Amino acid sequence: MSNKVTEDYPGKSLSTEELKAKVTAESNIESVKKSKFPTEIIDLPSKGRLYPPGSSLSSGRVEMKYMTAKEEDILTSSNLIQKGIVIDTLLRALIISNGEGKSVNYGDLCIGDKNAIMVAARILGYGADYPVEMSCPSCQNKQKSSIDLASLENKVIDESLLDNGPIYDFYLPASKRDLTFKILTHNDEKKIEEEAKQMKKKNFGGNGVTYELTSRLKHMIQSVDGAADSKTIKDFVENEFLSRDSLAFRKHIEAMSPDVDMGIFFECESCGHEEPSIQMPMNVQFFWPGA
Amino acid sequence: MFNFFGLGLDYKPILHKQLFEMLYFSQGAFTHTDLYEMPVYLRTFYYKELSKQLKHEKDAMDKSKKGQSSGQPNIPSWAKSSNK
Repeated sequence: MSNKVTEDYPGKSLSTEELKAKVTAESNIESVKKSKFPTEIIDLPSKGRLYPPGSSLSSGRVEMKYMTAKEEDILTSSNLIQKGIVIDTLLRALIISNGEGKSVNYGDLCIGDKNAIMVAARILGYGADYPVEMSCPSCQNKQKSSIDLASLENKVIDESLLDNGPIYDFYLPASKRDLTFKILTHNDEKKIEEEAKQMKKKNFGGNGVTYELTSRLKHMIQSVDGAADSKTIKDFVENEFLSRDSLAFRKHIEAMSPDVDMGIFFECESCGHEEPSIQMPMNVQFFWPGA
Repeated sequence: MFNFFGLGLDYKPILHKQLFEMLYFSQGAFTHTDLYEMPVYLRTFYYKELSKQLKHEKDAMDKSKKGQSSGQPNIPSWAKSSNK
């Protein structure tokens, strides 16, 4: 062995200690330590328009690495699964940059963009073919089929509504009041989840009402008739926000939120029932084909 | 966001068994770090190729054993004729 290694470094005969030092030094070179992994650039459904101009996400793209066994270990971590953060940890591990060399703050991503990154991670890791079992909404017959994830397209939205972001205006049709609002990010969703947990604790054994909707509205709305303080917003959402206005507001948000369109065409083999857009089921095959 | 909460502990041994098999049967072609940091689609490709190769070798070995199983040595024709 020693002879073989000495042959690799011709010109001088090295002692074992010298060889050890030389090999250790070479293995510590940055290029060796940072093994270069293959990456892909993914276009986000938001095209970066939901993010402020200074944000690295305003590039509208992210650079992702391919999934490896390391990421599969994340998916099988019972600790992360119990905490409900397994997908977030996975996506954090896969996102390298914004496609222009700048790092990405994961907490700033909106839900639609996170969905697109997750689908991209699946396609890069295991291919686009996703076997599923779906139930017919009419006769409940279960049938197996395969979804081509690469054929999923971005949701059709009115992009003109995304101009002048990331804070947008909305005029309430019933109460004739002006709102400004933003689209929720991952960080907002985490805060809402935490608040929902706190509320549940407070109401434990009480009326069983969950306040997630009002909590979401409070985080979305940035001002009411020009007043941006949290007390005004809280009072408005809890006591003054009419159901008719709330519905119109939610429809408006739905119409302008970028996302991947997960609706797929379904035709029942048993009863022939057709459904133009059924929600794509999510099962273990998504990140473990052939399970 | 999708309603998906990970794969569960059952899948971990399957993953690491695959890594072990590739380490063990590839005769040093891969290191653990190679496999652990290899994109999944590449690892799957190499795993399938390795399986095919091992199956091919096993078939060849079985075929060769079958040829020998008669217990009769292969005597050249000239030797057979000289024995008569």
